[in-house]
Amino acid sequence: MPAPEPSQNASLFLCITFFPSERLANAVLRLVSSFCGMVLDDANVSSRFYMAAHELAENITKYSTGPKVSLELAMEEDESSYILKIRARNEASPERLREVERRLLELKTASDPVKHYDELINETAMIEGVSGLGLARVCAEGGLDVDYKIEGNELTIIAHAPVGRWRADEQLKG
Amino acid sequence: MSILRVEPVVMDSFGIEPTLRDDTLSVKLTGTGDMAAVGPLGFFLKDIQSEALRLRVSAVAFDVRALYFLNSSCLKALISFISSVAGQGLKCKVEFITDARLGWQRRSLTALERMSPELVSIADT
Repeated sequence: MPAPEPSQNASLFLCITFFPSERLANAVLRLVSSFCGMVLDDANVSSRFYMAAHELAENITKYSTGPKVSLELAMEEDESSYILKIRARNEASPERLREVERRLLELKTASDPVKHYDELINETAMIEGVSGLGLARVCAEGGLDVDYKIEGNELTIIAHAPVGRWRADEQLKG
Repeated sequence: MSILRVEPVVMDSFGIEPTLRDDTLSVKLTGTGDMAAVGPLGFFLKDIQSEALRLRVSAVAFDVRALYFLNSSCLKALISFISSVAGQGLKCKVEFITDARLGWQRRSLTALERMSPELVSIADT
């Protein structure tokens, strides 16, 4: 997996590459929680991004077939706003890639992410095993958009949303 | 009323403390509902469902005020619990007690209320 680099319009960039273990994922998520709390001055906004990062970090850890996974947070400046992007990368089996692509296509074509999430909840309520709700939750509950890229056996999922204000922005405008 | 036959869950980062008060089964969740918590929470909820049936309680109240996070697998465990309660025809409400200052709690649990509005309620304190 190549080392990720920040895009030129990234004002803030954090990338953590780690072995896909539950304990390491939890340590990484504690750092992400501090990062979100530090950068975003609204606790509700911060908790939405933290939830998304948590779901993505758990996904890449659980389904990785490679020795490394990475989680990246980048504050990127658009024409008139800032966008916080969370990128999660791992290597996964062909079966997993097909399954996640199916879910992501359903999610991206859903007209209403909350309705889609509710439908998934009802469909899977009595099915034992994995939840299959994480990505839909990121969109419905977190209000983030989700994109993805599959290159060979590498999957990148990007969850992103505009951020009205963040602390560095506030300081600069002082 | 019979004695509760379900054990608390004590982990480094997650805990479940059940108590019986009158005809309500209270369940206090603490810590972080992450990957490590999914298994213990799932088993606990199966036990508590049996207890709700045995004791014929009128409500199961989940106090999540000291909970820092719930991942989607933990939410799924709660969803399965609610579906099972509804499926068994138990006359038992499911209540979530949240901390109004922690907006994520209501935001995360609202989907459960939408799923089963006649059974599930959320109370902010």
